[in-house]
Amino acid sequence: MEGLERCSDEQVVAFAEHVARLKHDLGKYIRFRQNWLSAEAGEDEVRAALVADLHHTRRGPDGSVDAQSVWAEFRPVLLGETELLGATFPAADARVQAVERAMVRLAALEPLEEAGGAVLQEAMEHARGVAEGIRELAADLRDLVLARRSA
Amino acid sequence: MADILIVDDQDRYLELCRAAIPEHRYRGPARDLAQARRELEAARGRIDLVLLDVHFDIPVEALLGVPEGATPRQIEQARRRQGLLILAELRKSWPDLPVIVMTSRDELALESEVAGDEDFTYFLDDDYVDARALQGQIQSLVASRGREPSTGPVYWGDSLGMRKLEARLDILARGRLPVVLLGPMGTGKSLLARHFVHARSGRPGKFVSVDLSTVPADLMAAHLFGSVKGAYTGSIADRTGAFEAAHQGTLFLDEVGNLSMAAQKMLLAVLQEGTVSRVGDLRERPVDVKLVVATNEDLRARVREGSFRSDLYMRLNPAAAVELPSLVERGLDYAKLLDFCLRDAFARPYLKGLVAEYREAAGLPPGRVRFVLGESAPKAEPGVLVILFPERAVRLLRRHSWPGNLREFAMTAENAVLFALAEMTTAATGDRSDVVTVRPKLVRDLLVANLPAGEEAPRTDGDVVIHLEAQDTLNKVSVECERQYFTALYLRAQGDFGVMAERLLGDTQHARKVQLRFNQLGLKVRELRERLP
Repeated sequence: MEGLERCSDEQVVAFAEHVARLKHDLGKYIRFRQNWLSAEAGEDEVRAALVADLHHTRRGPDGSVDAQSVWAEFRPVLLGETELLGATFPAADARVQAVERAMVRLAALEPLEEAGGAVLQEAMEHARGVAEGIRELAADLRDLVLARRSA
Repeated sequence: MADILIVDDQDRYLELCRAAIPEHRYRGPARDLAQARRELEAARGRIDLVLLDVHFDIPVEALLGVPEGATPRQIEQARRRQGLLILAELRKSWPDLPVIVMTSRDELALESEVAGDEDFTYFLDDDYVDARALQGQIQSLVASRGREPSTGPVYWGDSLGMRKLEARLDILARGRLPVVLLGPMGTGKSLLARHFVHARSGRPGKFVSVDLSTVPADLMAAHLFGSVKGAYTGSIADRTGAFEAAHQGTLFLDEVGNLSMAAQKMLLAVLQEGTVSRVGDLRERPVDVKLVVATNEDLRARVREGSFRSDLYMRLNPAAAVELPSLVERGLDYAKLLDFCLRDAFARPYLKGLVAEYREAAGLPPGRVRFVLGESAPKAEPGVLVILFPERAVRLLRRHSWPGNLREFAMTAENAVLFALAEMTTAATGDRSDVVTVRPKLVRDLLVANLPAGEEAPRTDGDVVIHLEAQDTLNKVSVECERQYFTALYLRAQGDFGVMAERLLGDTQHARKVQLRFNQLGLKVRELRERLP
């Protein structure tokens, strides 16, 4: 992965762990219920799935956390604003930038509870973009860690 | 229906499983090891499967694997692999409990203590799991856990449709309302009524079966509801009817479309009042019967044409009717069905006797019978008689249209072995008298004999049409053909790689190999899934 060549193994592992956590907390759940929609799902079902995925992205006994809050926790490191173990993540990474843009756009589409079909479709596409962007990023970092371990 | 324990710090899997895969019972979510233990201990072995998350955002006190004076990063690492640590602990008490770890194996590549090589531990194919994929995985695991003894000689197979049907019938069997079984001949309606509905109903009374196509119309009422002496010509004594005989049990009325109009009226009264009056008697006798009716007729059409009472039709609970698919529609794993049918057949005295005769003639000691599907027999074992069903013979079974459905299949399987034994053939495996080979020709002859008049040859599995444009290398032609073939097969197999593997490699266990080739061809499961009906 470009931009991480000078990072130590430990720093790369720290980034990989950070993104793995992001994948679990956001990538997996930002379209969790959308993934389970049937092809015949109506607009109300789509809206409910989006609201569940974006507003209650993490949900447990202590309540729920929305997708924007989850992203806010992770983005400073990935956008190079905060160091991790003394290293800065390459802020220009195209996938991170794409995720950031999609999250901004998703915020602009609120309130989804009142959204119509076109907005819902757009929101679903952005949610998919976030999920896939994070998946690719996580896979690349994982491969980098494994490559360094085997070197 | 399976009992599934969810171990997860979040609620979302539980909510979605309940909504999208409602055919199973869910417990939990257990939030940590202690809760998971409590649930499993309370269930006393009734949990069929565990769905286990990996990342647990739970208080540090409940976390496993946190060293003394742990740094925040160490705590985070423990949270991230908590599911694996929980799994390792659960394995000490429940070593063979199937567990689906809710992540892909790839995702755990950085973890050192992956317990994934153990038997009974399974992973998702994709982290971003969807309902269909998880449903399929759960079904295949539940199916592989083996059948419950109470299902008896009923073969459900592994298909999702039949699993749903089983779950539905299980619920209906326990309820008080009548059960309507629909479906073509030979699909096992009678078998299901006796060995599944009655067995699951928990009713202490007898199972009584009446085939209404064999009862003369003028005797039907007396047969079903009983009669008193002198009620009709030739009635020389009081007679108990089928309803009274089935009191507190199950009454199965096969071919219910044959009910005479008089009997329909009386049946309606029994269903409404819960009492039966014998023909010629005014006395009402209370009866508590679970009624199961079966037909391959369209009862609604009969109602429309006026030959079946609409009020009786409605009383039979038609909204919950269970429609059994034909054998071909079930998309079965024929090798498994064959194995099932042969085991069933060999449990009967006649074939047991025949095997004993064969052993004696061949100079073999007493012992067990083993069915082998394949081209060659395994090494000889003392006392073991091998019934070898070559793949070519199984292939013929797959291609047959099975107009007589399960019944025809079971009879063909039994006949094939019976004749093979009679032939005492050992030609395909040399001179080994411990191997009885079912020759493909024998199977072909039996199948042709089964065909209805006018149908001369077993049908094919259907063609796959490949569209090819000019390519600049032969390799590209080959890959394109393979891509299209795999795509068609995937869609026919409803996305089940096990079914594809059975078809391509003769073994459902090779699903991973097929999936690997699938990936190599650049086919995207995600995209094809959307094309599934």
